[in-house]
Amino acid sequence: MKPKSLDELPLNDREACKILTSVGGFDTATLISLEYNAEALAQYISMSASPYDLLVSASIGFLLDT
Amino acid sequence: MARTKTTANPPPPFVNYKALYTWAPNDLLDECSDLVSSKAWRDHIGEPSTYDHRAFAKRHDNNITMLPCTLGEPVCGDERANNGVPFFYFYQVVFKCIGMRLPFSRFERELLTEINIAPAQLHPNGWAFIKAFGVLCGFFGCAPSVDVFLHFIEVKKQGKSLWVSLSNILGRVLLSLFQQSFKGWKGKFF
Repeated sequence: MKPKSLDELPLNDREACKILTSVGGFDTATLISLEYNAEALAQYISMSASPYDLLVSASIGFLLDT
Repeated sequence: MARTKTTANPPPPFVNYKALYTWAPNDLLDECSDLVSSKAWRDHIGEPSTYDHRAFAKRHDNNITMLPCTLGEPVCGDERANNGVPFFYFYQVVFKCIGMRLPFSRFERELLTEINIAPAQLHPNGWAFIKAFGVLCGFFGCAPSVDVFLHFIEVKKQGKSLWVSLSNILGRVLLSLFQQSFKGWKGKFF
């Protein structure tokens, strides 16, 4: 199965890819362990990403709702 | 996941799986679960008197039941070996270590359909990628999308292996491996 390139994706998915790419690699085990702890999850993700990335990412919900 | 069960355990009817699944190689027919006793089942979900759906389901749902396999039942079995009642197999480690719960989300169903595999065909690390991706998308407020997932993660099938794994696409590493190696997970499924 060929990987999906950005060009093939609809706009919303492209935006999501850009955001996830900008925040980078995450520890899978940590993400899973924090699934039900929103505060700790936010703290972990903010440690892994710059404030700018999180600011941009906050707009994704709005983009997807429109 | 809808097999019914009575409290008494009658001996399972003899099923000639080799004749039923002529397409299946021997190593697939040999992949049977050790979790065949009601004790194994109780150990996972708790005593029936304090039935705990949380061991396998997101919420109580009469349509979802988890049952132990019968002796010699291969992981490639289908409803023909179960009086026509649909079900699927699922490895215990994915419930226990990764915390997957049923029913599958829309994203999980769409992904399994897109990559055309049964739930038991996916390596536990692949399930961890799926779960962690769902957590990330939830945090960022976007619906998990199969296309986005397959932008970061690719499907790999090693040679003639019957199981499928997922791995990061070079240069687009989003998630680390949950565990470098899983041991002893095969042979333990419901």
